[in-house]
Amino acid sequence: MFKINFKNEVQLFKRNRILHILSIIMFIMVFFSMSTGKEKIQSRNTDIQNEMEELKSYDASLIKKFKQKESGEKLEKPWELGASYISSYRGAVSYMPSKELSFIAIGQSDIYTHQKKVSSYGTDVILDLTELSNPTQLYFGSFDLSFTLIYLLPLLIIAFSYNIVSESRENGTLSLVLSQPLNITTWLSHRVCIRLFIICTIVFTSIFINLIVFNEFQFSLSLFCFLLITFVYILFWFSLSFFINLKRYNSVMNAFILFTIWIVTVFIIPNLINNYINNFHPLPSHAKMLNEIRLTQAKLDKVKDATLQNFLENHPELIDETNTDFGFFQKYVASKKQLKKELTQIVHSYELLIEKRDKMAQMLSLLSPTALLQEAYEEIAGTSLAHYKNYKKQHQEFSEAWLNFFIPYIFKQTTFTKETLTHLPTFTYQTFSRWSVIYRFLTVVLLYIGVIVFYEVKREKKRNIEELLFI
Amino acid sequence: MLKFIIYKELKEYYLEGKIRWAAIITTLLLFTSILISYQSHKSQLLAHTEASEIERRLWGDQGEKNPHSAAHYGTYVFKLNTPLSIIDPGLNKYVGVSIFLEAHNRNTAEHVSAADQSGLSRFGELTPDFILLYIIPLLIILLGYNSVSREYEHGTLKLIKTQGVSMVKVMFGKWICVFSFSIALLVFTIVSILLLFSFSNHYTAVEIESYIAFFVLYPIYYAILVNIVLLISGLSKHSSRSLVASLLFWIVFCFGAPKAASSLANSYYPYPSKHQFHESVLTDKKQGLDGHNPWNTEAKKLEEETLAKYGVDSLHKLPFNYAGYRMQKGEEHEAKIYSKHYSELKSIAKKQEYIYQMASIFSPFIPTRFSSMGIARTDYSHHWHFSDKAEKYRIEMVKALNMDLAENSSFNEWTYKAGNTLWESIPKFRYNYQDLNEILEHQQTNILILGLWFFLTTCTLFIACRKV
Repeated sequence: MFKINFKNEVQLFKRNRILHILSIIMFIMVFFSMSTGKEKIQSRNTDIQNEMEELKSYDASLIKKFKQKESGEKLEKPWELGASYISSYRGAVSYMPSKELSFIAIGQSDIYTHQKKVSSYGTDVILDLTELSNPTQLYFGSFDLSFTLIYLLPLLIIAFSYNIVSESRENGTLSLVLSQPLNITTWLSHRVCIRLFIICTIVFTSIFINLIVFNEFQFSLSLFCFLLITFVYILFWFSLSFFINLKRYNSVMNAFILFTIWIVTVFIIPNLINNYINNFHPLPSHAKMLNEIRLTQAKLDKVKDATLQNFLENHPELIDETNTDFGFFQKYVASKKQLKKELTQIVHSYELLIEKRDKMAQMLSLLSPTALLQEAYEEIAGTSLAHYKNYKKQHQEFSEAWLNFFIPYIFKQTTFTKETLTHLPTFTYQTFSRWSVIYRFLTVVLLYIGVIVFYEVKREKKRNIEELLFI
Repeated sequence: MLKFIIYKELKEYYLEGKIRWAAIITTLLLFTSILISYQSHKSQLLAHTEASEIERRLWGDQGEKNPHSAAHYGTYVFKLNTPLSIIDPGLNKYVGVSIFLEAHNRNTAEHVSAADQSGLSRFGELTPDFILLYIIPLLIILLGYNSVSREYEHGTLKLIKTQGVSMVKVMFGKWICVFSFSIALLVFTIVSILLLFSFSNHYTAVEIESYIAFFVLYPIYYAILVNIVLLISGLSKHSSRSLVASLLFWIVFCFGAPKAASSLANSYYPYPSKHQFHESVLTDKKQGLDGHNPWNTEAKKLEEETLAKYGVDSLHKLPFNYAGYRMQKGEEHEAKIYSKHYSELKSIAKKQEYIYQMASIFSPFIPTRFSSMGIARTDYSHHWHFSDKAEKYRIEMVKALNMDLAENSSFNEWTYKAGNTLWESIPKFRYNYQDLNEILEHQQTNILILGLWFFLTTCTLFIACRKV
């Protein structure tokens, strides 16, 4: 019977021109969204590369100047070879490289930067990692693969499956089918499975072809996870569609209910969750934090000498008996250290509130398979808020290491040589992954599917032919 | 006859359970969104007003210091959201709320609230503009998708025609019914907000012209959508097809076209990265006068010019402190560089805006979205306006401080200190947002496109009615 059903479904698909058009549109959308993501990644990698190149050429010019100095030549700006100058103006670069599938979800990558200069000048506690971008673009978002799969793929599934039973009933073919000696549940499950197979073929073929076109096809665990969660999402929409199909509604009502579910799942639930979080766990006031930071800065500005004195008392190893005449930069570094100590508490309390809010958001997102999928895609792409927070932390730790490296040179005024340049700290990005996000998506969505199917099977046992025929 | 058609349509709406529920749910969502938006606006307004006052107090209470050090200490200015942002918060979440004003640098706005929120926030928020722009069109689809198709399905269209009733009249009756629902919800929104204002002490003046502008803009948007939905209903002749097609149009209008335009705008006219932007500013700065560096070429040139202008042979003999004067000249040079580079950014934004306008050909949502944000003063041009005013204030503030140093101290007198009187003499930053006429002028292309949409869809619907 499966063979006959398969042939029948394929014939129906072959004859349905609307579905052909939708399949082609799906392919074009996957292509367009992948190209959007790829473009973003290319520009990100180019930016990182350019900044590293600039650093290299700066080092080359520094080495040239050191050589000039060694050969006794008079330098135009001798201070450029001092530790204070190199620590601030040469600085270093921290960067967050893209992942192999970063192009699937732009996520927060349009707000944040992926490389940042590290300098001994300026404070890193209140680090601004945002990128220069047009807010209109941030508002509308990008047409990336995650948008195509989260928002548009369910529509293709609905268009393909809203009338599995109702169409046969409306055409009068259901009575003919039911007059045959066959099991109705088996007949229905065959039809659903075949349609699921066709949809999966369309979607995954589109993805694979485009991966090959963009030269991104490389089998990996990330790719496997991406395909698996996409499949589970398709399964979720199919189970919903199957559930609605078996209700005694006509095609119009089926389409109407399924679109309503789509709107509620994709828009209303995430919107309501956002509103709940924003109102019951609002973002702590930036303005208030800024005031506290400025008050601390103003307080420290007035006691720069005392701060330096205090710093030296805690670091006697930095006192050079032959030279106790400290200038602007030493005072600045001592103040910076103290400022960081005091600001850390203010910023930490601010971040704790955000963390609490994030936890609440994560808990509530269990109600929305779309929000869970978005999170899972961003996890695979490495573009979630958690990834940027982790990068920020890595940048701050490196900044601290950078300043600590220079402090002995700045205070003891040790000569900075060409050889010291080769020992400068360099930033290495530590890969950050949270597989729990993928597990959570799989567990929760499979649970939703299980509940729908269980309910359906239970109801199916009680259903009689009259009910199916709408008599 | 028109009266009977309207009566029949309204009765059908009333009898249809799903329409009743949808109308109730939309009204509830709208009311909730208004209350939430009003509350969040009020608390934000209080927080920013308080922060501005504290910042001003800190500025005035710096104590004795060199005026140029005070210019480096700088101050923060905060953007206060307009009352109209309750209806349409627009881009508020994606632009910074404060700008740090200091000597030598023009900083971008800081603290973008979207940066502290997870990907979930990109799904949007339940705000009045979300209901007005996305949900009411869905209600229009629900009311209108089978308006004409059910007449075909039930065979009643032939009966109506045999009565000699003009199809234009029938369609007009249906049109009025669908349209009036959307207008009722718009009236509900505006009246609720005005009522909330009247009970609050925080709002003293209401800019009524802007509310009128909303009242013109949204009905045009809804009229276009009603035209399209009725046209689809008439052409498809099957309710299920009409529903699917109308919803597909909704998705293309509200999501597909804006997102595709956004991707194309970024692809054709990308913004430079922050690093690239700062590097190009730095390169230009290096080539000009640096107020802190008396040895660079431009500083030497300025020194010679100044000595020649005042007919003296030494900087000590000048009637002012040359160091302060040089600082100011350096500042003016840097301000010009910033003006040039920010103008380049603005021109990229303008080109991107052109792509959005091109995309408006495929979606009446886009011009409505831009115009609505414009009227609410929550669009990008409003942010530029605020940022430019803050920059103007920064230039004047730093000038006042540098000139105080130049006029009240002598050359090389680095111990000179000014006090709180000087800091307080610098006026507070006051920002008045753009006038409605200015906004409408800026939005004229969007309004024109919207007008074209209305004209073309109305004509098509009229022609289609005549052909039935």
